Amino acid sequence: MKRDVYLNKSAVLTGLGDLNETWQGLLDGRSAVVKKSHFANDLLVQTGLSLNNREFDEVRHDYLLELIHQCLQGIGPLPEDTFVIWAGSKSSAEMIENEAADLPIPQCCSPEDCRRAVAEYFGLSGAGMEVNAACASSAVATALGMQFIADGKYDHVLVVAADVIGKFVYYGFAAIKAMTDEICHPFDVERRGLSLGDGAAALFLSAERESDIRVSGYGISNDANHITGPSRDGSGLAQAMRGAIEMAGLQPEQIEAFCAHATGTKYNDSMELLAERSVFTKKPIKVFGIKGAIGHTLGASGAIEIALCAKCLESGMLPATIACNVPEAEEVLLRNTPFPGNNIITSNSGFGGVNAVILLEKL
Amino acid sequence: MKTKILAESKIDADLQLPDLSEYLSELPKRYGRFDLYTKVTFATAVVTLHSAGILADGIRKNIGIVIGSSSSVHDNDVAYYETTLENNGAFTGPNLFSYTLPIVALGEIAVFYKFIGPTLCVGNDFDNPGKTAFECAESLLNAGQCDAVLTGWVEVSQKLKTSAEQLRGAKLTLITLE
Repeated sequence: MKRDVYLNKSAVLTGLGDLNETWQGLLDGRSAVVKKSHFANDLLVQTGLSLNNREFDEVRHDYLLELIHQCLQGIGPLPEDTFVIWAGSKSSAEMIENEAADLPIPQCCSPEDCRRAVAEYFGLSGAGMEVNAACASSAVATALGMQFIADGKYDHVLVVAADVIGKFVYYGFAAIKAMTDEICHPFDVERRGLSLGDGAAALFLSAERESDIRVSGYGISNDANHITGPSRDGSGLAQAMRGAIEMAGLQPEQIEAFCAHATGTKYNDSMELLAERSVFTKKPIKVFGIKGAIGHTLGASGAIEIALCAKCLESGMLPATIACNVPEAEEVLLRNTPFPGNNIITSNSGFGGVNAVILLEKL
Repeated sequence: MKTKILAESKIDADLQLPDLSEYLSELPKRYGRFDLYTKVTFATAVVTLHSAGILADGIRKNIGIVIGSSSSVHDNDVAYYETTLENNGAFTGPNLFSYTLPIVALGEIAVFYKFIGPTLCVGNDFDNPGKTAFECAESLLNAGQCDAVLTGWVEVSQKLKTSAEQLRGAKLTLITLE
């Protein structure tokens, strides 16, 4: 018999601050994405970045670990048998950057190091695993965590993800021309690319109910179309959406809101709107994205968005899509909007064609 | 329901790749750009899927891919980052950057065979290689996320001493439920 899975605790760290600060920042319409010449480079001279209390060129030893620890402060004590799933997407980047610059090697050099650091922080037994599904990493990890608890394999799962914006990812996204030379404008008709952001998140899932938020469904799919670009028809994401809704035992018209991946790239945002419109055909759904406020936080983005979706359900409010001026579709929210609904979905898509959708329900 | 193994194949520690022309009439267009991790993963997948009678026929199949690796794409990461170091990043290699995420190797398989099921990479335990991936694959099958899963492990790093000394090669298995 399948067990219910509850999202009992969440913590995030973004350019706007911790979970409450990030949530309030969204409602206040603030953005941590700053456009400037963040460092001397010949590839993309100016761009918008959302950094967590630091300058891009500032050398901070073990910054990934610092970000993880700061985020975990928002979680509190956990049962010793909590299974940890680490879902950062490029956990070795800091080590590779430091090696090349003859700087000291950081404590977290790999996904395994990060997972062990999380277990050590809480004094856990050490059981866990690492997941990498590019920018959908922490959404996929949440799906797996939900499945493990539902199946009775574990009683408690902590999903943790963090990614730091360093030269490794900056140059890469600039080289594939995915970054804007200003700040990102998710869902805007004039959008020109994404803005990167430091981010960390932790989600404590459990079979024991200590909150009113249930993780009720998930879907994971592959576009089978291209390794770095989304499918043009949205069919892969639509498949994942339908899977999540079916798993929750709901109909599409019972879902009232969609927190999209909304990176601000031309093709991603269009693909998401196509997918949403192909699934939610009977009743319009409210769509928003948060990356105009905190940038694209890579592997952490899914867990950050899940934590904020729980805030939407608890507060009865949906945030405006910050930095979207002229939306591509009328369902994209430009103002904070009362949200009396009980069901919200969020999605992430990433390199390799992966899509992951998580459905949360307020009980 | 019980898990059923449909096919499996492996590549030994010397990373000698099979002649793919024996299995495919045409290689993926990007094959020449694949990094070593992607080449080994792709080649092992081709042999496994050929044994199971699964073709790259353009028809979408609800098959997932879950692969474990500890060293993952480390060697490609280093090669990519070296391209960023000259002229303030002006010569950064976009193709190398694409392969700094191990799931891209899975994406290449998904694109070639039109696999639309879940794709994810997980860690790998040297004492039980592929075990974590296999358990995740079984969970996804039991949850009805896909009809079959290509799962196993791939370790190719020549720069990370810990993995190179303990485990190199690849082994993939196609599983389903019976």
